[in-house]
Amino acid sequence: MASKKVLDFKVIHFKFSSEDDPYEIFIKEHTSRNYEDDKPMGRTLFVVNIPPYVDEQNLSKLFAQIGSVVSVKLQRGIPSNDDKLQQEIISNGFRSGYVVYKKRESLVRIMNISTLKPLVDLNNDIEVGFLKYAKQYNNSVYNHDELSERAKRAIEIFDNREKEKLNEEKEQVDDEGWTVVTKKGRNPGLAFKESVENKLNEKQQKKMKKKTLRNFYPFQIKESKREHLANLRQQHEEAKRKIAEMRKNRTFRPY
Amino acid sequence: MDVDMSDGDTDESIKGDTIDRPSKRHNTSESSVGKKKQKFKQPTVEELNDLHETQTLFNNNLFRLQISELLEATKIKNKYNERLTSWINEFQLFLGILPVHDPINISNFSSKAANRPSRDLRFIKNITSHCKNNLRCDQDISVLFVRPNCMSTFGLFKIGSLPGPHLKINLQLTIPKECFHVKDFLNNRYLVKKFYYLMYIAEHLKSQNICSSIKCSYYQDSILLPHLVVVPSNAEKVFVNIFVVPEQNYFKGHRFLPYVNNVKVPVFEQDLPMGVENNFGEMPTKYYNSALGFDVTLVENIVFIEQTISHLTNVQEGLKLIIVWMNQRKLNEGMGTFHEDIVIYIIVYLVFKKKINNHMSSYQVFRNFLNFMITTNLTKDPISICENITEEVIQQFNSAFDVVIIDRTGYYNVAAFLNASVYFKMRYECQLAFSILDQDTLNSFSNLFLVNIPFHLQYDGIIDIKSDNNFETVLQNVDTNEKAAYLGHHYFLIIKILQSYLKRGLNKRVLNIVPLVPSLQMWDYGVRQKLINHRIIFGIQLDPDSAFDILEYGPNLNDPGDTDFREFWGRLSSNRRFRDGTAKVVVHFDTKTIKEQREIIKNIIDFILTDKLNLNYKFYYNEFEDVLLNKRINAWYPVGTNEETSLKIIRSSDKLGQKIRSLGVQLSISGIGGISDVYCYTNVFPPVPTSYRSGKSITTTRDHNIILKEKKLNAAPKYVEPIECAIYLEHSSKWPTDLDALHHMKILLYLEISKLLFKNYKIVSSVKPSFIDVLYDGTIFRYTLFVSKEVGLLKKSVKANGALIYRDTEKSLELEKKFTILPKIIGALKGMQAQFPCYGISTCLAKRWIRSQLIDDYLFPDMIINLLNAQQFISQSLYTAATTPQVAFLRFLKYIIDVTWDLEPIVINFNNELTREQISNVDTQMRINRDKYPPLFILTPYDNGDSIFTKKAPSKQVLVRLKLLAAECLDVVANIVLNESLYSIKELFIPNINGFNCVLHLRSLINPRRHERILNVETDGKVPFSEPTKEAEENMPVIDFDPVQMYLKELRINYGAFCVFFHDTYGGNFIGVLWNPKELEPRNIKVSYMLGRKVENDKLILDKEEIIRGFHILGKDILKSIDNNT
Repeated sequence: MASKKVLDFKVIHFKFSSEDDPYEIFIKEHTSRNYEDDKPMGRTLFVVNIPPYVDEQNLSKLFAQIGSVVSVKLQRGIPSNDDKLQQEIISNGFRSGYVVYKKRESLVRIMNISTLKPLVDLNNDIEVGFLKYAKQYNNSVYNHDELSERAKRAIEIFDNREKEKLNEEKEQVDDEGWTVVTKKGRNPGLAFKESVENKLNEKQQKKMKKKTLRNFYPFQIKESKREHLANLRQQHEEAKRKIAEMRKNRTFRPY
Repeated sequence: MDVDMSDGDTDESIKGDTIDRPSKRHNTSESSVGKKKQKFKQPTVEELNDLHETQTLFNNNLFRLQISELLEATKIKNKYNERLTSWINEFQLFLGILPVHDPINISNFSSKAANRPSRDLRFIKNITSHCKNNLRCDQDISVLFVRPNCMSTFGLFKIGSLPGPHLKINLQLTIPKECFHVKDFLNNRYLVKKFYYLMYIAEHLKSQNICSSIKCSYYQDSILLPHLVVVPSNAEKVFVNIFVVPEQNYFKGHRFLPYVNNVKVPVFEQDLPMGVENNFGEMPTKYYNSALGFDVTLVENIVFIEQTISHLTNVQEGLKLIIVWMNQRKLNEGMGTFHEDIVIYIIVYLVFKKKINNHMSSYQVFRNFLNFMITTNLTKDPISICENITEEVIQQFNSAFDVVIIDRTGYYNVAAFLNASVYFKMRYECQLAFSILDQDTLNSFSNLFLVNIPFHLQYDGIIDIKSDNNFETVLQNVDTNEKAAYLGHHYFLIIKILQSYLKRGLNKRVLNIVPLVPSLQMWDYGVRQKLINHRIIFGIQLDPDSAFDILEYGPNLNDPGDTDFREFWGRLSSNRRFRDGTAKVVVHFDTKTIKEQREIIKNIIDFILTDKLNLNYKFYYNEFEDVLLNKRINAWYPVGTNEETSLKIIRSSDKLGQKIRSLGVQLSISGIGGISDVYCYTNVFPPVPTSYRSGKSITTTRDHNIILKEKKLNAAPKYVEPIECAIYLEHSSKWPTDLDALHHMKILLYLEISKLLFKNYKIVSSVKPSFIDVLYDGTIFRYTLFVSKEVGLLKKSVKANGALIYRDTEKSLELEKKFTILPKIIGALKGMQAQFPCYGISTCLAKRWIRSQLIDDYLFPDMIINLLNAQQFISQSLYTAATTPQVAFLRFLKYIIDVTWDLEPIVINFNNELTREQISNVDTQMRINRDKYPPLFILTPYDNGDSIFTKKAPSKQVLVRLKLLAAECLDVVANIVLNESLYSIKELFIPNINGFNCVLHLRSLINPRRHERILNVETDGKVPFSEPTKEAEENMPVIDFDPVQMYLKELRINYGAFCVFFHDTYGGNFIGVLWNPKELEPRNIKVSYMLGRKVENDKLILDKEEIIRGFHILGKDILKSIDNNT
């Protein structure tokens, strides 16, 4: 059992409570080409297939039975460069995560263990179900004063930041005599927006259009007639296509 | 070529300017067309003509092609034509060798048959034993059986207008004049002879092997016009109707004019339960005459019809279209119907009058027919195809019959058996068809010719007077004249009398009461025929303007007619004085709710049919509404269906809105709009305004909020649904340019509103980070501030060249959807409710039904139901708007079945704001790029052609399933109405627990909407809702707390990839789970597949046990048990 492996993952068994059947979690040592601060080499365990009801706190408790855990990070799905795959598992509640041990020994030890202790024994007030929802509801009822305090503080911070920005934005003439043109000031520049760009293009086109003559030369008249015909033809074709589809659906059966 | 290219270029750039997405898709196709244009083929003359013709002779291209496709599909196959010709040859041979029998007197039929069986007598014995007919006459006439003179086919088939593939061919045999006496038209003698002659044919046909079945039936349900219906042995599915008629001009035609009497003595006793007097003297027997008239004039008429139409192929095709259209709407079925022959005569008349000709396309013939029907009133202005008929005779016909269309001979009214109401119904349908043609929408063609509309969807109510009734009371006061007129056709008389009773009772409330009497059943030759009583069915079409008036005005007191009125209404009538000083006899209906108001119709009909006429009947009208009553609720005001509560909430909302506006908040409020379903009356169970108190066992209070006790909590308080509204603020440049700061600014505003509301009005409220809940008049209103800048901020991003761009993001779309598009649509729907008061309730029925099929908001959002049901009221393309919720709901089901969401966008064109070009543009684009559009695409004027409500749901599977379910449901209803099945309608709304891989049973106590379930036994305790009082409005209740929904949401988030969850939103006590079949397949071992799977035999397979354990763990205290059926 201890040596059961899938790809380069090791299978470890986990139970929610002692009555349950064991369940398979896949673990391996985390390896990465680039160094990340929160996932130190040698001490980080990559865990896959964590069931939805296990949160970070529980996960940490679960793995702490081997040795003390420094940090735990959970994420939906499996980290992948493939966007499409990421999309596919969006409604999948099974997660993967990183467990960082304090010492490498713990990591080595867990690689030799096949079964973890049931979760319920480690943490007997796991919040799930009705009670969790009730608590969630109660937490969503706010005290108005607190709320007001918080909002005011946030706005204050924002205001200060704005002020600083405003100061920066004032027209400045640099050493060599260049002036930065901003939206404010005496000679404001045009806003650099897409809509402005489009408007400019439009104007240009209108000007062009005015210059050309339409339905003036015989060939143009001929052309427009031909276009009309082509239009009719196209409608006809489209109608035909639609009919074909309807026929495929066996719609023409008035009985 | 050069010009071509540049043209294409400018075209493209112009298109490119518009920003909305569909046109961009358009762009790509345009350029591909542009490429084609380069290889311009010179048109042939033929093509030019074709295109030209389409423009002038048809509605449009599609319509033309559809018509030709339809005509092709209904063409009679050559195979059948050949078989038929060969069969007719065979039949002719059979007639040639038909045995001839000696004349025999009727009185001898039974006596002689007993002893010595000779060949003749065996025959007589057979026919007498087979057909104990009720036909009698005054004399002991002698019957002669000799071969018929000649034979010919006639009818739709003959003139090439019969839509296949169900073939019906009429055949006419002429009885030689030796068989008759000149006076045989009197006293039923002719009819008796004819009947035996028909039996004679049948009896000998039976001994031959050329027919697989021989039946008898009645032409236009007149028992005086029997004919044979045989099925040729070489062609099943083909019916040959064999008529026998006397030789042309043998009887004098004027004997059959409506004022002539042809029956002197009672010969119809058996089938006339009306106590016939001994002598009719000279009283006109118009129906008897008409029946004979049909036989006598048949040959001349069919010859004329053939002459007129047989060479006009376009007219024939037009006629075929009319027949197809009528078939789809069941306009030519049953007693007193608008028979196909009437249509033929009208077409002949139009050709005769040169109103249609062969230069017209079939489409134009159809259109002209409709136009003729609409513009003429045949009840007032009779028409005739007889050339030498005097005005006087026409007037005689006109006074005798409802509708008059005189035939070629001038002696027979083709529409004699047509009921006036049926005629008006037909006219009404013509009008509708005409408007459909003019609407010229995407599917006007299929609405006209391809959608089959059963009659119970065409009327607001169906009265079914059962066949076991005795109509003596009905016929009590009929005078002899009338009886004489209806001799042999007493059912026509009964129908007429019932109609007049109903019409008098319902008065202005109805537009039309149409008899829909099922045809007499055909009976097999050889089986003794039983005279079965008819069920008499009426379809009633209500007048939406006055159907539900609570007062029925009679005449002024002491006016003539006042006793008459009192007599008719009996106990219901009363005297009333009005404000203007007049006093009238009236009938007042006491109603407390709108539902009761709708029941006025039911009460009136019950009064007439039960109290006055003592008839056993059933009325299909509002049985479905029962499922919308929340019977376990004990409210402090009268509650029916949702209207009362919705109205209360909307009123409170208006009042509260005014108060909020008057608060003087920093930024002035520019508008407040409702975005909940309640505002358009489509919330099935809107929250009943009530007072909220903190209970001892499960709740406690904090600040001024009722919250849940966290210890030993084992039940949820009843559900309090917040009514959502949006507050629009005046534009201001002062809003911060940072999302987070903006949110906090909004919170401060909420808090200010909350403070002021309490200070000025003592109204409590509770602020959450993204909205404010206000308790007012016992209802919770949830207001959200909408700042348009927020949308801009969410959209903002920077382009590669540094320019600022605004692009839709998921969040910005969500915000726009909720606060700019939704209010518009809710507003439009609210307007619709005002215009069509049954819109709301019918939508509720649709919702309740869909939810009870365990398809909830996640799978099929509420808003889509609102929109889809709005469709029937906006387009009115199959029927005019319904007046009662039930029929609107049934039509909704029908729509779900018929709608081709896979081929076309669903157009819900509020106020006709979308132009035809816009619609057809989307339609074309969708056809080209079907995969880019969601399975269901709804085009409304308000969401820039994005169909924002259908983006995530419903899926194709749900749509397909719903279609199946709707078909099943309509079938059941059809069975109830048509076949008198006793199935309970309620059961259509009871969720089905079978067929799931896994069923999660929920604990009832944690379900805050449990009282909405349908299966409730009524003895269950009632949930009291007391009137809100000021004292009770101190605390905010527990709002929007539904553990079942929370659980469902959590399940979907976590396991939505592996399985689909089904639940009945309205109090459902279980959740059904289906595994996603794709996920059940074993996968190769790969890291990306490892989630939720386990290893078995070197493959990854779905770990069902673990997932089910997950259901258990997440559903702690919510689940009662899990049935695992896998």
